[in-house]
Amino acid sequence: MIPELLTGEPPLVVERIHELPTLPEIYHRLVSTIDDPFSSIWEVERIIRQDPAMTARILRLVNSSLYGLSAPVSTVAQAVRTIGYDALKQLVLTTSVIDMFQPGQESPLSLKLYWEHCLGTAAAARQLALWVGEEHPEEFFVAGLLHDIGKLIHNQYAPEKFRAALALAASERLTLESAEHMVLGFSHNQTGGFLIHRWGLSPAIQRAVAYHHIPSVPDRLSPTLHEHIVHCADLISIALGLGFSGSYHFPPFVPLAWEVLRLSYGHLAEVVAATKREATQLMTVLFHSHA
Amino acid sequence: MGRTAVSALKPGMVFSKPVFNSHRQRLVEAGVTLDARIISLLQAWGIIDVEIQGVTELTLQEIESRMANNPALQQLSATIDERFHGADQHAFITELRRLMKYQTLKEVEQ
Repeated sequence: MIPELLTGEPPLVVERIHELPTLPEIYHRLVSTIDDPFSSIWEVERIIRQDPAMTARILRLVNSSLYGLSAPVSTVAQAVRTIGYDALKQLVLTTSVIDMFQPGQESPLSLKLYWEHCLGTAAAARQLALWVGEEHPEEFFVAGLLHDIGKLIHNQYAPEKFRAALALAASERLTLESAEHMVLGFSHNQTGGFLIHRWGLSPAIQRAVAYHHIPSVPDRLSPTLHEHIVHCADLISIALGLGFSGSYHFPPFVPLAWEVLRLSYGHLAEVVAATKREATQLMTVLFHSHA
Repeated sequence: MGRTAVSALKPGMVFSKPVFNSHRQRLVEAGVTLDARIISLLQAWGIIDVEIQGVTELTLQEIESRMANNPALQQLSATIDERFHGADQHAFITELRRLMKYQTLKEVEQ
């Protein structure tokens, strides 16, 4: 647990900690099987196939133009051999988290627009990580995907106050983060960081979620590459108009976050173009069955 | 150097920068001369634009003045400005805004 969150736990998650959603059993079994050096690809396939909807969605994602395969794959084992374990974990986590939050009748937030913004951030984070030369770009995808997860907790567990925060952001042209502070007393990045810790995801992802708005606060631990990349990726997704973040004011930009990546504006153009393509494809594959 | 829409490419043009797909796989090297096969490859990968020798990059002001001549583009330009409401005045943000407007201009002009 990062120390700042220990001292600043948002009251909502403290009060309702036992109600917070947990990652599905299938994800934990998959991760422990993949991490076991004596497990086989067939065991991984057996776990995934227990969930036919997830199996179908994973095969659809792997066969989409996102992976650019020369020939389609028809089994999970083939998919794993093609995309690798890291990407498989990312796909299972992505589909699990999207399924975890279902739209309520009175929900103040449009889940489809929410996920479009997050998938845009995830795609941009992965692209930036690839250009920076990171070995595990999928971890950056997950950090981008989950960066705003605290909004879903507010949406589900404090809908009235969250609705008021969204309305305040709209009427006063604020970032949602500022409006949440005024209405709730804390913001989605704090709640999100806490939830990611509860889910047992890596500290790098936890910090990227908690600090994606302010990756360079001087009075704490040195910011991580994940924080910098998710900060820039969030702005790219908003600039592209992908979905809706809930803010009516462009988020403050921390120049250090871009400078440490040591990329050119030529790279930025590539990232923007690839993000738009990938986010559109991801929305089609992940949400066409939800339409 | 500037970016040219894939739909506007003609055989004989020369790439000034390599072209990558979403997986950072290099599809074309810099210095290669375009032919019909390469254009098909770029279209298959969904590449929107590439950098071509001798094409100058448009500035934000040039893009905005071109958009101002067309009411539909003017509206799209205003929509993009709306996304950037209250944004910091930093070169990164200006470049991001320029890219969004340039991409929109190209998509409409195609």
